[in-house]
Amino acid sequence: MHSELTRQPEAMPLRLEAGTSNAPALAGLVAALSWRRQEGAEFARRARTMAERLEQGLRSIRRVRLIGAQGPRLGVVSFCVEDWEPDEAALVLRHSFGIVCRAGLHCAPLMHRALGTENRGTVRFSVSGFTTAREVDSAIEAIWRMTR
Amino acid sequence: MNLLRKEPVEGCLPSAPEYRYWFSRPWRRETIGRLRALGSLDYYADFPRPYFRVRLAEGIQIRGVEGEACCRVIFVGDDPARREEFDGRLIRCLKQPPETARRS
Repeated sequence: MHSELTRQPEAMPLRLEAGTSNAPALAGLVAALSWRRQEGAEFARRARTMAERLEQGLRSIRRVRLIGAQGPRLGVVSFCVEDWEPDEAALVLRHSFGIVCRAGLHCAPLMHRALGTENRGTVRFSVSGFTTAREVDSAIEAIWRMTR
Repeated sequence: MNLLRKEPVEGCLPSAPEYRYWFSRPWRRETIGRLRALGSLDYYADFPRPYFRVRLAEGIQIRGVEGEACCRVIFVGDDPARREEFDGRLIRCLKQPPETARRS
């Protein structure tokens, strides 16, 4: 419709609907929302459980400093490891232990300034409802071995 | 073991210049041991894939994993002449007679 126009039409939602609809993406979105409605609560509960397991395990390692307040959290755990710069720790975790994580400022420099970690950042593990207890324990063990 | 190429590594922090060095062969325990000639070697033999770090007196660090054909070199300051001088020392070091790495 109105293919002769050289500009997008002014009327909404027509203005945003030029071209062929991405039907596979829309079908995927519908499937994802359906899955979320059925499984979302349990998925979030599993993620919290795994994050708590990870936090407790890391807290038990003397040379690890957890960042952030203790208490309920999402599936993200940031920390510093004594004698390891965060980017080096991430390098070792990935290439020696096969564990992928992020290190640095995580595109949040002001937050790191508030936390006092703006110089080198932190290591950050992320878990989800798909993460298993075995995977969490492997991550904890890797950090423990790095601090021996 | 020959140095094939180098590429800069971009980090998310404004830190010292860092490069990834690619070699003709993977790092082995014996070749890692040769790096002792350059500085203080930390060798983590008990990791699933052993990790090594060499700290040179002038602050340069070499970091790598046994079995990989690359390593990272972190420099202090962005001086091409110093980088070139380091490359020469590294290449000569890797051609020295072997010395096996010991666990740090």
